Amino acid sequence: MSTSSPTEQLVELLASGDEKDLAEAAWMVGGELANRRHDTVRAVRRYLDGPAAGAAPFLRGFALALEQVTSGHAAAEPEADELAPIARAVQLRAGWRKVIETLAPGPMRPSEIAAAAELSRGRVSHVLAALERAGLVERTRSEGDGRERWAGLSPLGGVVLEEVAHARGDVAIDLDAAVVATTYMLAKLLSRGRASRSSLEDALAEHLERPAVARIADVALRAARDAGLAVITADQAVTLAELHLRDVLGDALEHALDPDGPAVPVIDLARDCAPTGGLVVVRSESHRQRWDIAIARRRLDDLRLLASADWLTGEADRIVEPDRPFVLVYDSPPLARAERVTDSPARALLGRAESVYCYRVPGTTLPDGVKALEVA
Amino acid sequence: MTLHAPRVATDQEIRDVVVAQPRRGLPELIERALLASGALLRGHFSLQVGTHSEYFIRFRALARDPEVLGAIAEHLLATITVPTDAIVLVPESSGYFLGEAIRARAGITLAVARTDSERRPARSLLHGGLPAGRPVIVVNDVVTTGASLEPLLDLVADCGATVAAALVFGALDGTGFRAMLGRRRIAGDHLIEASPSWPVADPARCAACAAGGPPLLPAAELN
Ligand SMILES: [Zn+2]
Repeated sequence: MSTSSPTEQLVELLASGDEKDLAEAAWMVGGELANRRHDTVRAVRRYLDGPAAGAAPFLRGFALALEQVTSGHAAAEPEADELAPIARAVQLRAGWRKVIETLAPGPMRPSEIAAAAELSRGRVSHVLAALERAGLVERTRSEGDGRERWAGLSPLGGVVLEEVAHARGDVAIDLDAAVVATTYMLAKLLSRGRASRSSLEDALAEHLERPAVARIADVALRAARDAGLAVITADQAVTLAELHLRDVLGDALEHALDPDGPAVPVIDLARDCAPTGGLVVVRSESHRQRWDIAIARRRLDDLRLLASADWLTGEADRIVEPDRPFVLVYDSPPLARAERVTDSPARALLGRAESVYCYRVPGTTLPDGVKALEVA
Repeated sequence: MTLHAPRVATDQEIRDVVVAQPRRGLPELIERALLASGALLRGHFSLQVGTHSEYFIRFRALARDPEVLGAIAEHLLATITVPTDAIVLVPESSGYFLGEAIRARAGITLAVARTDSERRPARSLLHGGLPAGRPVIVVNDVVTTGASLEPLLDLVADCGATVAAALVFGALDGTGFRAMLGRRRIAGDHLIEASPSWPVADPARCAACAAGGPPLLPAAELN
């Protein structure tokens, strides 16, 4: 076997199906990937197309998993210059760069890295996990000292460090890549209801040096609007107002943790407008943890929160008992609009509600039959 | 909208994959609640630590019953000594409900930490305070090894307060959680953990992924 190529060896190991050979195969694939050789994906596919057909389900599953891993790595590597994107990724992420530069002299404990790089322990642990996944850092548990795993640069990490050091001072940001990443980040923030220019900039600051943040945020916000992303519509005023609404609600709910904090309109609604013996049901995706806690904290027993997770887990019927009258309150105009037209589980609820309310963004209209709740 | 819903685990599955903390049995009320609440879901979930799991405990479903929540709080409190000036620290997540129940039973005060955009506990306070020198009981609902508690432990240290104990309802890797407490010399405990038949794996080794489904759901979004 010593004369055959790694690809042939790998197919032989997989085909043998012996437990030790499989372990050997996995180890080999790891080694090949660490050396940035991607022939292994062809080997695994050759096995899957041929011998795997009659193999046990476990073996086939094992090979499929290997194929996933190797093809994932292969796809992540552009052919022309495979080092450049990694080096750029490191350059773009201030945290990554600081940690890699800190590790230049040799392996260290995470606590030492945190002190030297002036980063929080939590941040260092996130960065190390990401760098380990990217193959730039290797972690070992030292013998005498079980408390912390040491982290050191992998051979690839060493090469990237050199590359980054050469490019130092040159703030070469790949604008396209950064905008795509930022647009994705914005979409993620929107889905969690925390999107605003400042929250975007805060999230960006995790990855970029400050001077680049404002520039990238500008371009990304424009790109997101042009792409018609989420609530970013042609009417930018509406969009910003809706983003503003989320911020206002988030703040009000934050204070709702204090029993004597400022009023949240829906809480007054619960006191004044809930049907006799009935409920006010808040339909929220953006701030649901905050709503849930605020309701519990103020002991608002006839106010209930309903999130899509409650349908997934079958709890919706426990939260809104089928025989109790209720009014439904949306905390987001896009959600109120969407659930009237899509075939969502909320639609049945809309039919049963005595009234439907929604927070209103100044300068916009709500769907017919939805009453406005004003935000201060 | 097609929802690829996970399903509620069967009684047999719950008995197979959930076990009591090895030094104690599981109180009967809590066992019954686990079976009746639908809190244990069967599906394909990505956990915050990055691993994939075929089960997920939606603590919020358990916490809706004040009697069950109270029992969990009491059983956890019985494992530690609570200083009279202690503060309970919880993240703004479903762990809040356990923290509040513990606070109410022990007659102490509560502080709430922010969570980040990934719903992980962050290192800053949303509500309440952690005055220097005060003992703090860090609480959360379900953890894997407890690594997610680290920002909370760091926050306590930042404020000059001291961690008196860490209490969680579930630690999937119970051995890992107890080892973490031991390493940090923190008192604390958990009531349940995952048995060896609870499938948890790295994404590359996940049987559900290799079999092409069911679709992966981020566990943090469900609580
Ligand atoms: Zn999986």
